[in-house]
Amino acid sequence: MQISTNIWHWFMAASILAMFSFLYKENPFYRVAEHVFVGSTAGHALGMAIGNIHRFGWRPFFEQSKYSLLIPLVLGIMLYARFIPKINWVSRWPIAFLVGVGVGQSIYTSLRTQVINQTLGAMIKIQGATLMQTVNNLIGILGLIAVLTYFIFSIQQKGVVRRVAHGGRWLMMVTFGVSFGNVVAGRISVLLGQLQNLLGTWLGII
Amino acid sequence: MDFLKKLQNVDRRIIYLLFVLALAIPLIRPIGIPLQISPATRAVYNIIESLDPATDVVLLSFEYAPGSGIDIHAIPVTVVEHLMKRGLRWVGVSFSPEGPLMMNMIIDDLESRGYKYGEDFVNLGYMAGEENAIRLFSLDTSVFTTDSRGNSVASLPIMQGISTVKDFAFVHGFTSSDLGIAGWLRQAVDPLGIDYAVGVVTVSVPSATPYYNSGQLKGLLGGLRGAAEYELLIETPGLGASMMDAQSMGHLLILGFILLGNLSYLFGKKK
Repeated sequence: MQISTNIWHWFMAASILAMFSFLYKENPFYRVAEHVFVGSTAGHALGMAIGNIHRFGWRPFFEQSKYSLLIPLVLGIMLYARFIPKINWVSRWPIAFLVGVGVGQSIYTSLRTQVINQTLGAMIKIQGATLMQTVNNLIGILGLIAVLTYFIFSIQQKGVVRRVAHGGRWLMMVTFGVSFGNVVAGRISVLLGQLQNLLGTWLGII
Repeated sequence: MDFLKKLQNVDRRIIYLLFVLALAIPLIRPIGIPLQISPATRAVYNIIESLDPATDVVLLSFEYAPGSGIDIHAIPVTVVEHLMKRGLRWVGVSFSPEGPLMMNMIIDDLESRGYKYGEDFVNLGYMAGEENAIRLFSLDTSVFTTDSRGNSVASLPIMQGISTVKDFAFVHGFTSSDLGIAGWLRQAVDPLGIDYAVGVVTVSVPSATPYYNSGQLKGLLGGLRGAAEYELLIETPGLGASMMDAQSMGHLLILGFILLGNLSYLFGKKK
């Protein structure tokens, strides 16, 4: 066991323990740690935002004479007009610009990456190189059909359609279970990281 | 039966304590539970193994914050270790504000081991704009005129011959949000046809897996488990591998709690 002599490691350990103290009950130590965390995160985000304007707007505009940057700089300032009631309509222009660019840039590529390419990826040969691969492919294709059937609302779900849709529902439940299992595993990993900080970096036990 | 009744009303703090103990003990005394390497992890390894250190430069994109913790941070640590082992140079960029900080943690370690900033690797820093910024950078890397240390990017040896994302031999993202998965696919991978793999937090594995299965992602490293698998592949056990025993013990304890809770409910109801 070799306890760290670095003051920042002690600060880290105190912050982690203060946050964990909430598990016992609400207390002032937790409150302090929570406020420090929120404050430092907000401060960092603000600093990065100002740094970005300086780095990608102000400096190229004045030092490299990139005068076209005047447009985004002005649009950015216009966003803050929403805080002045008399001219708050001015902020709608940059918002309209942002929405237009965002939609324009992603509408086609979303269709490509999330629909077309995924559909192409689902068009596979059933027979695989091994038996297990073939079984896997079959599950994939039948599962896709079953889940899609569940979402067909234009025909009444009875008979075969109902049974297939029911299978699709079961498959979705399995998927939700997998997702929840991953959430649990992810949260354990985050806790493990903090235990590593406490037992390893701070106390030197591991 | 009183015992079963008591089980239904266990103080949550006892469960927390048992849980911390179940995780801490294997951390102090590892058990060595074997680990299988998934094809998605091996795919990333194979791509990096196929690169040529003399000519190829890799782009790493950091889109995660300290809050995601070791679940994601262990992944770039081991991927960068592999790159350095192979003598491959890498350029780091970030489209989330905390990304450069996380990158610097890795860079500090590399510099203490003698690797040279600007020659072996560089941190370009953060650019706001999320998907728009990814698009802009992908088409013209010179939008970063200075790196995170204020050096002129054009004068850095590692950046010579690079003008778009296509000039990188391979792109690897590390992300705790959808930006690093769908955002990169939409704005760079599909339009420009680049090879892209991603390391994600465990929570995002189910949403990223369909993109790997369809071939849009060339590789996928999922959370701490993915990092542990990769560490075994490069024969450098690190943070991930050391925590997998504790991870497994945590899961076993949860399974035990679920079983006990259900049994006590079932038998309590019958009574």
